[in-house]
This record gives sequence, C-alpha cells and structure tokens, in this order.
Amino acid sequence: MSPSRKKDPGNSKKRGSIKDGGKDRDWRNGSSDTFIVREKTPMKRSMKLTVKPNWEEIEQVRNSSGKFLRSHGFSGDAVNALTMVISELIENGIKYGNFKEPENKVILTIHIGSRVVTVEVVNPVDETAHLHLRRLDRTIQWIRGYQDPFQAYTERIRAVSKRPLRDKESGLGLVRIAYEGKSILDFFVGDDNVLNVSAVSILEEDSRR
Amino acid sequence: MGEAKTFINNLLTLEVRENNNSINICWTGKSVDREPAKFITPILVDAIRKSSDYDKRVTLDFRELAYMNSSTITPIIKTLERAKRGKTRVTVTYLKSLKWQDVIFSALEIFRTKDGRVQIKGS
Repeated sequence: MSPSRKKDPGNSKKRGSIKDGGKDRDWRNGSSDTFIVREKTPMKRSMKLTVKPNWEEIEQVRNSSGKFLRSHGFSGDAVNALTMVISELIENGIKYGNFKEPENKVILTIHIGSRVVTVEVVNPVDETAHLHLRRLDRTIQWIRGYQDPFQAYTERIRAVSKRPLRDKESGLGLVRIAYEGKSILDFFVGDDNVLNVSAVSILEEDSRR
Repeated sequence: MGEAKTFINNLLTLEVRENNNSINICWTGKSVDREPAKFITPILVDAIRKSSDYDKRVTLDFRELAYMNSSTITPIIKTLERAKRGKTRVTVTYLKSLKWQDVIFSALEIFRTKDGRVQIKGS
C-alpha cells in the first residue's frame, strides 16, 4: 500500500506490543470482541483494546480508556485530552479502515511512560484508503511545519469555517490532536496493509493528580 | 415570557430558549455522532435566521457540554464565520476552568468582531 511515510521494519511486531507473559484480561460490557489487556512493569503500563468497527463502540472505548487513565492517577484535564486523542484516532480507523472481513477490527494500544503517553490505533486498509493515506501524510507534514500547533489549528479553523454548510468534511481531527492533545503524530503502513497511526503526548507537570 | 424547545440526538441535548431579545442555545451531554452537523446545523441556521429577522442575540452556551468530537466543531465555526460576515449578534459562552473547553473555545477568538457583534466569553 502506498504512499507510506515510514515502512514497517519488516516484522509484524509493533512498538510496545503486549507480551504473552503476565497479562491480565478483563472482558467488558458483555462484548465478545472488546477486551482489555493490561501489562504492568516498573517503567511502562499498557492497555490494549480490540474494537469492533461500529461507531457506537467509540463511546465504550472512551469510557474504558478514561477509567484506565484515571486509575493511573491522571487528572481530569489530562484524561479529557487523552480520550479525545483516542476517540479521534478510532473515528478515523472506523471511517477509513477495511472491514470487509468479519475478523478485521480496530486495535487500540495505550502505553503510559514516565513522561509520555503513546496512543496507537491499528486497522487494516485496502486500495480505497489511498486518498485518505495521502491526506493523512500531507496533514501530518503540514502540522509539523508549525512551531506552535495552535497556529495550525486556527488556520485550519479559518479554512474549514469558509466551506459550504452542507460540506461534510471536518478535517479538524488531526490538528486538534496536535493542538489540544499536545501530541506528535506519525503513521506507517505495514506490508500486510495494516495502518498504524500513533500519537505521542508529552505529559505536563499537572497531568497527574 | 419565553419559548423553549428541546432537541435530543443520541447523547447530545440542545435546549433553545427564545425571548423578546435573545435566543439561548444550551448544549448538554456529549456530541459523538459520525455526522453531528445533520442534527446541529438546522438548529443553528434557524436561530441565526431568527436573529437576523428579529434582531436577537444568539448565545451558544457550552458550559454544560462534556465532550464533542471534531466533526461537531465544524458547524459551530461555520455559523460563527457567517455571523462575522453578516449582521448577526452571537455570543459563545464556555467554562474557562474546564481545560478542554478553554483550549477549544478560546481559539474561536478569531471570529470575534471589534464591534462586539460576535463575542467569545469564558466564565
């Protein structure tokens, strides 16, 4: 699948993937497809969710993610910002993913580090995602061109506000992640046509209670 | 005496209160739909039209809103842009103490007009 900004280094193991040993599965909401895997080490804490590609699942993911982050001492403001990042990335995954096969799902992983929180959303894509991937690449590069994401955000708001009322396109999700979520975005498409979008949020001093 | 109408869509409620001088639209809950503009835009367009016809100030009160996705921001900023270019009087009210609201709504200062027709107020 092209274009891709950064190729998967040739193996299927993603950054921070959940290891088999010592994991703790927690089934939620009676869903057979959504589960949480927690791994705790002295340096890193992770949560993984497998999400059915239904819009209604997003709110459940927001609730589960918020609960997970609060359990690790994050403040209400930090939880709001991080769950916004998670929601926006999962929305994109559901909108542009390839879910023709019933086993295809969106996979969310949250890694809590000492200074950063990394959110990764992985979903299969097919040739119809070509335009989305080009726009994703262009938008991330465009955001990086600004020293302050606030400037990128206000510029995008100005542009979007002038579009016709009936125009469905928002185009604000990624720049909102950069500005409100204080996150650095990246993505790559693996050889197996799996899109991996990550947002690394740098924690502020008041992020934890 | 004022008139009040309540519009509910999924987790979002918009309560529209109209009196002789103003139209207040109070947002509560969460806006999480895939295409929230389908629900929001007609309500905002109607309020702006009445505002122009009867010279009433429209207040968009977000203080009770818990969350909105980025697709929700789109109809709001399109409304503000049209108000800025036209003659409508619009006030956006948000909760400054809630960080996500402060971050999102303070950025809407770009729509503020010098004559005070379009105001962005954090409280």
